[in-house]
Amino acid sequence: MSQFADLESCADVLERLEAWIDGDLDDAEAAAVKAHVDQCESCRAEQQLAEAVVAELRLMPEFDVPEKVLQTVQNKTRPAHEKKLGVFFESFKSRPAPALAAVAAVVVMALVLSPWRRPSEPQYTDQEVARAVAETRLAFAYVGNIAQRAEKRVKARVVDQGAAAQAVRGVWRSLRVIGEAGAETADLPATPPPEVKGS
Amino acid sequence: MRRQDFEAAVATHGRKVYTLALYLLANPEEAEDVTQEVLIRLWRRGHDVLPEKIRPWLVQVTRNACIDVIRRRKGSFQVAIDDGAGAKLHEPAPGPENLVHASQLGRRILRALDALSEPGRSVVILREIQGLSYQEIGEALEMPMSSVRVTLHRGRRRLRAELKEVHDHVAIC
Repeated sequence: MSQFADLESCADVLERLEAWIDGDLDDAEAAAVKAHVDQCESCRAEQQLAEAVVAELRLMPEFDVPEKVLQTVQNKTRPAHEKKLGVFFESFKSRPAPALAAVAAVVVMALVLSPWRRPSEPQYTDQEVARAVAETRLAFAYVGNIAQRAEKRVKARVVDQGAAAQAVRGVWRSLRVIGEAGAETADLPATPPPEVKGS
Repeated sequence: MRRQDFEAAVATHGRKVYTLALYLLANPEEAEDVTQEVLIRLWRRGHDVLPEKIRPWLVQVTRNACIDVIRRRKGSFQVAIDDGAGAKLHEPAPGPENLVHASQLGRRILRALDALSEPGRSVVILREIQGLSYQEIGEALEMPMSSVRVTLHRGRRRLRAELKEVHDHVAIC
């Protein structure tokens, strides 16, 4: 049984030691524990042990995540296309010869297909370019002129054909009239006029 | 979760995850496996977690993963405790006292910590070693703050009692 006020026994005090150290007791309880501890040697030793436990725990270190764990996490959370590149670069470590051969092949293909390897374009002076442009324009104009003339000629021919057809029709119509008149007297068959294209 | 947010979270909280796993499991290899599993889960499920809740979420997931490992370990230990010739088939964990270069008292505290039951052990580790607030611990362990406080004091009281027993035993011997 405790000889100290408000707390019945050392057990009551020991049960409150941690809360008292953390400042979690109300003022009256805290004062009672302090009064007890100040006068009770065994409870004071317990208080010192309780404080040492807390101090030791707070000295315990934290640990960095091992590099291999971070690397694995990195690999397993990377997008697929990055993984493929990662696998390729990893192959440098494990099988350098095939990886180097692959790189060499890519470099050679790039050089072969690169624009630097293509024959260089001839260099023209401004004067030559201007002359080429003028000649091209002239050529187009000539072609255009020919096309225009050809079109006119075709139209004229069609018109001519149309007129000729009308004339032929007229002649045939006359001939038929004459022929029918003649057939009535000589009993000859009537002949149709020939077909004219473009009429 | 965006890549940069994930990498920032790993940089900020990865250490906490691994440390918690290491103190709970007292086995570096198992702690590495759990850390890897938890961080990958963060990448897959992180978009469901509010940025300010990432730390309690990580604590909760890590602790649950560690408890699963301990359960499996106990199961395998019961099955393969002895091969009949006295030799253990299952190697026990290296022991928490071998994790750090602590003082003699520190090593005894770690051994006593390893003997604490849950959730007391997690609360002591999270509060005293990892410095989480009562609120963060409460969120992670889904406990009211008053319960966190009571559990912490009970856990430390238990550690003190264990150390006193050892001290008294040494004094008697």
